[in-house]
Amino acid sequence: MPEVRLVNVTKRYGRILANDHVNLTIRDGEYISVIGPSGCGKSTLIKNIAGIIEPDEGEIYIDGKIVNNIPIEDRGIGYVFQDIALFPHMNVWENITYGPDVKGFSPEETKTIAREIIEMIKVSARIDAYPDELSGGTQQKIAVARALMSRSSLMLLDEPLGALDLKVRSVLRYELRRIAKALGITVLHVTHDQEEAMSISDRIVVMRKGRIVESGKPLQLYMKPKNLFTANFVGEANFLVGKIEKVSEKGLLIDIGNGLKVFSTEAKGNIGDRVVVAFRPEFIILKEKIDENAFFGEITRIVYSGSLVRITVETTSGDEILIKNPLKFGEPPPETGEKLTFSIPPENVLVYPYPEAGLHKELSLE
Amino acid sequence: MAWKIIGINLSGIVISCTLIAFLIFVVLPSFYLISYIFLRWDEVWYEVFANPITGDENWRQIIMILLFSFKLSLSAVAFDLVFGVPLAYVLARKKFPGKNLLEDLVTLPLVIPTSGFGFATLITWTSSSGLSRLFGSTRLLSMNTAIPLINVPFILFIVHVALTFPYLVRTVETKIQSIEETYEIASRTLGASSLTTFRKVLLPLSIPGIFSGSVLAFARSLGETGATIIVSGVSTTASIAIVRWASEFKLSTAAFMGSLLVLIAWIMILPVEIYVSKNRRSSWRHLHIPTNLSMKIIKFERFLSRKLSIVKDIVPLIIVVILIIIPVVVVISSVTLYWSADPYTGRVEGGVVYQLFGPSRYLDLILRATLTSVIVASISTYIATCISIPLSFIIERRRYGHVLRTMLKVPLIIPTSSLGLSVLLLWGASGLCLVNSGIWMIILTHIVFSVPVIVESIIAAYEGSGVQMYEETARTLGANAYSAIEAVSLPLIKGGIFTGFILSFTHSLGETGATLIVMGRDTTIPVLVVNMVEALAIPAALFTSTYLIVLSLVMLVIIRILTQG
Ligand SMILES: Nc1ncnc2c1ncn2[C@@H]1O[C@H](COP(=O)(O)OP(=O)(O)OP(=O)(O)O)[C@@H](O)[C@H]1O
Ligand SMILES: [Mg+2]
Repeated sequence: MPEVRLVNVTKRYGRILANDHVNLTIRDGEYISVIGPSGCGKSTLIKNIAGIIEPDEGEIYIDGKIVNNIPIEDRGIGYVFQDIALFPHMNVWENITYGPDVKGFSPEETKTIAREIIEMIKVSARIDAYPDELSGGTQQKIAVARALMSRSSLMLLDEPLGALDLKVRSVLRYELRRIAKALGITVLHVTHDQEEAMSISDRIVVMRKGRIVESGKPLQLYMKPKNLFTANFVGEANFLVGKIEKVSEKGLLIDIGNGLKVFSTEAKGNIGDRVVVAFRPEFIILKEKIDENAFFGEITRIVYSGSLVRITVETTSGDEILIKNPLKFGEPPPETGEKLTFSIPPENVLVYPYPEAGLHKELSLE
Repeated sequence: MAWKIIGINLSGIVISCTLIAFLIFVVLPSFYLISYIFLRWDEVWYEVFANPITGDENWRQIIMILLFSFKLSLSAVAFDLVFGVPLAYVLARKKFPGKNLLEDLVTLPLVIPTSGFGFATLITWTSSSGLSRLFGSTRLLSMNTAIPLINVPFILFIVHVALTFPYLVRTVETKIQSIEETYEIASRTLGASSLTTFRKVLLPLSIPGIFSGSVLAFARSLGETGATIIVSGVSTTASIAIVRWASEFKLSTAAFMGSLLVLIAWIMILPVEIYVSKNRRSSWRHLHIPTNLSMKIIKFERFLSRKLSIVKDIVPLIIVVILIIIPVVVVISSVTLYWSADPYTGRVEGGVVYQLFGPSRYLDLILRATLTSVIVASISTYIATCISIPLSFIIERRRYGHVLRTMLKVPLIIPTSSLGLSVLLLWGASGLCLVNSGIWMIILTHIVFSVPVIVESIIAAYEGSGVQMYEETARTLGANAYSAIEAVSLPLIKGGIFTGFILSFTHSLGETGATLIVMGRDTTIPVLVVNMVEALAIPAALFTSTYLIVLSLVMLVIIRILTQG
């Protein structure tokens, strides 16, 4: 069964290290998303696995067998391209039966699988329509169907929903997962949309500058990211720089300047360490009165985005803090200039050692 | 406001002038030949079908020659297809050292004056100083050694292949480059081997390019005169027959043959043009292959894909070497061999030096022909450029533009000897009687085929540079249409104009077929080579061919620098 293992896979383009000693194991039946900023080497990674490009160093194993020298067509993978790439000179039926045809399935077998797959992806297009007569969403579904048709149990998806509008994307992504799980196939799904990754993956791999920064379950990456880059890239976070003032068995007390202190339930750290404190804007609680981990500030900006209000508050220390609060019916939303008291639950305050390269550099997306 | 009015009036005048010039210099000569047949049908009938002495002998000859010509052109194109398409694929998709050089070599016959090239090939295969030196026999082939089955002389065939090869390869290469590689990768990920991918994905998608490349190659072969006249031996192709008949003043027979050639070429080309312009989807889909057979093909392709990847790259390379490099090398080495004397008889009269400086004074002839050639090429290219620049803008901007563009295809497809004949009949003594045979008529003829060449390269630059957008920006900033063209568009398409200029200049330098008919007593260099060969002045012909080849190599370097810069 398909288990994919990458060992020290490296790919250079001139001086650019597109993949830098990547080590990754994808377990059988897993749905993995690869996320990371543009140009971080996501496409390079799955192209290496597919055999579209040759790694300069390292080995790739599929099912325990090394595949470095095996041509694309013999690796038994399905691949969905960001730009869809349906054959423009073939109609829907010819497109989806292309794989079985060139692999030599019998016509009956091809028909059976095609019917099954068409039903599964719920595509409503005429089978004699040509790609340019279909909507983007339908084309994308056909592209997925085409990849599924060869019955390969490993699917590589390179931003398969990238070309679609938001509504269609958010429907199709669940379809993708549903189909993958129904067929029991292993999926590596590349996306730059962290929300997409969060909502459908068993595991997320975060990449940056050709390297894997962190990988883990979606909730784990969101609640307890192991590093600052992930904390910033997966979801949103406020970052404050400070010094550890007290270490107790309950946690750490961090001085963030101007006499303000934040308490965290995290345990790692020594007194005097320079640290970065991170907390998610949606975990902040608006308060009437000042208590533990509470702050006070003036609202400088309010933005409504869908069901949320995004409130920017300037604290007495001069730091800007973003708060996300659900919009509630009947309750008048706050206004700019108003004073606000809020608190951060200590168990949601993450503490990281101050990065050597500086905070800004560490968080930057390029 | 005032500026705007002037701008509009000015553009009106420019457009009318351009269109009138286009009509007189390009359209009229292109179509005159056919109308001539109708206008002078009595004469044609009398000469071709009902000659009191020979009866319909001329007509029977026409049929025979046409059949031979089509057989030759079709087999050359078939050969081009078999080896040119893989080469085009390699050039479009692969990166390898020496790729630029290979591209230049394939393009060389496009810029080489064909009579020089024809002579080089002839020497290579049939003379004792050619390839036979390697094999020890005195001559490898006779001029008339035929290829079995198609019964076409071998030399004639390889010359036509070499001269048409670049048209096919470059057109298909451009087409393949425009097809996204993702389709091929997609096919591979679905389990198809590289050969199956080529057959099922790339080939159908590049059909329009393959068609138009074949059409160009076919037209070129049908109209080729310069090299053909030198290597044809006892065979006669249609364009040679036209030249011969025109020189024998059998004008009606020549005109009839010329228009038949044009008509048949159009009948063959039109369906292809329509097919390509409609950009239809794969039509051989309905050509159903039984499943087990198609399975066998796919298995075979899979097997071959593994084994043959090198062969596929090497074979086209070998062809390029045989057809292009060897003749060029042989000619140059023969010049040195024959420099002071005939190496076999030892006679000084058989040496290059004697022929150039001796009593026949070939050097004078070469210099005078060079002067004529350069004057012709410069003036005709200059006038053609003056027509082409505004014409390209009209084609791009006006709704009737595509009609003009289609009309421009005519001079590209007409065999040049037919074109020369058409010009002769239109302007010359038997027509409007405005121009006599000679340098001015050569210029008039060369303008006809130079305009389409320049227009095409300007349009390519125009469409590639997004000029339309820049121009619109300039106009929203207040520039009127006329000054927008001057300030914005012209600088952007300068490269296209340059390339077109050089292409048309080299084309004009090397043209033989039309020139032979309209030249009167003036001689251009390619024609001089033909004359030398006919006068059996082989060393002089060797020298002139080398001179032409070196000249075109220089041109090629200039083209490469221009298109890259
Ligand atoms: N064929 C190539 N030639 C040169 N450099 C390349 C090539 N392909 C990719 N690169 C470089 O390698 C790096 C990684 O590219 P890759 O396409 O893997 O990024 P990505 O994470 O998929 O980005 P995106 O989200 O924009 O698709 C980039 O810096 C890119 O510029
Ligand atoms: Mg990518």
